[in-house]
Amino acid sequence: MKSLNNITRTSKLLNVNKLFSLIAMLSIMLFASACEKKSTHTDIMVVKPWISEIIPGSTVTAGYMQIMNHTDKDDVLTGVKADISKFVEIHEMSQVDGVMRMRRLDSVPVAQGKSVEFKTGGMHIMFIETTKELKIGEKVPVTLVFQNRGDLAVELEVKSIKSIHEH
Amino acid sequence: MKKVTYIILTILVAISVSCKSKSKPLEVLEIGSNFTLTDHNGNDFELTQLQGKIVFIFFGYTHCPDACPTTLSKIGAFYKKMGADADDVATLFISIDPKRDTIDKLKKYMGYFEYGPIGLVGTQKEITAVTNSYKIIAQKRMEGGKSGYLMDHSTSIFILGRQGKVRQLFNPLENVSTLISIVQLLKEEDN
Repeated sequence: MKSLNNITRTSKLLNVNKLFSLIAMLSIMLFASACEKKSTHTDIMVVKPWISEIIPGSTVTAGYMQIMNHTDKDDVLTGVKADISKFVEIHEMSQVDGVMRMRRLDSVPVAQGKSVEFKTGGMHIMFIETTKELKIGEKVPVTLVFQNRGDLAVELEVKSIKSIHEH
Repeated sequence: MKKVTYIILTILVAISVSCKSKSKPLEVLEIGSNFTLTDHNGNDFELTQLQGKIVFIFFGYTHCPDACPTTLSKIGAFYKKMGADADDVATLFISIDPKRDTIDKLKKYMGYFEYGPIGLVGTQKEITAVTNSYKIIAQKRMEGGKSGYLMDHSTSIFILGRQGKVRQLFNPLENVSTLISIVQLLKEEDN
């Protein structure tokens, strides 16, 4: 009788162990799939998009961001659309022998798996003949036009150009 | 142990003193001269008015969306960090785009920066005389884009000593701390 009880207890223990193993395995699988979802991007991502507030007396301003291509093929930024100015262009600054030169770019390649940065002193999106006032903290809707991806809507946060040196 | 600490401290103090005494005074650069332009209030402005002050001169234009506001902001960061120590430092923003930069536009633009930079305009002839004197490049370039025309221009900040002579050029891509060091070197000359 005693041995029978032992067998029942052992089998119960085995079942409990099996249940634990199953739960553990399921948890690992769920966790793994969750992680996989987190690390897999299949789109073009835009990080920290912002636009400088328009300085009084001026009718131009500049937008900045980082564009990351997580798709499976190379792409090209061919234009930017916005309704805060009459014209929008992509410009690049470069300093050669102490002289700052700004030139207009027709397009910007964004290779697969790479990122391109628009930052002060480098490339920027130039808004020409602005038609609206921008308030700090406001979000400005802009459309980035990619050759393959098509239109990508982003919002640029209005910041003061003065804030970039306040560290 | 105390002895070792004392020796190390003595060496460190000696090094710092010797480094300080090594800082060479800034030379006088043979560029620039006095000029008369119109300030953003419409008044005549002569450089000699600022004699006795340390002066920053920056050439730019209000249609410039990136380099000019960024540089003026960096100068703003200088004033913020220096506080009252920068009361004897004046900043001039000379427009190299007299066609588009009116006195009214420049007044609004300058008003954005709390440290009170003085905006200066002039006729094309007057501006060219100043840019030639400071040996800076300011060229109009047609881009075929919607921005009308762009200006290729020198972005260095000219730093003038109290006698109105150019003593150093500051590249705005450098840190604000470098700008502070240059001004402090000029201030040391007062002692």
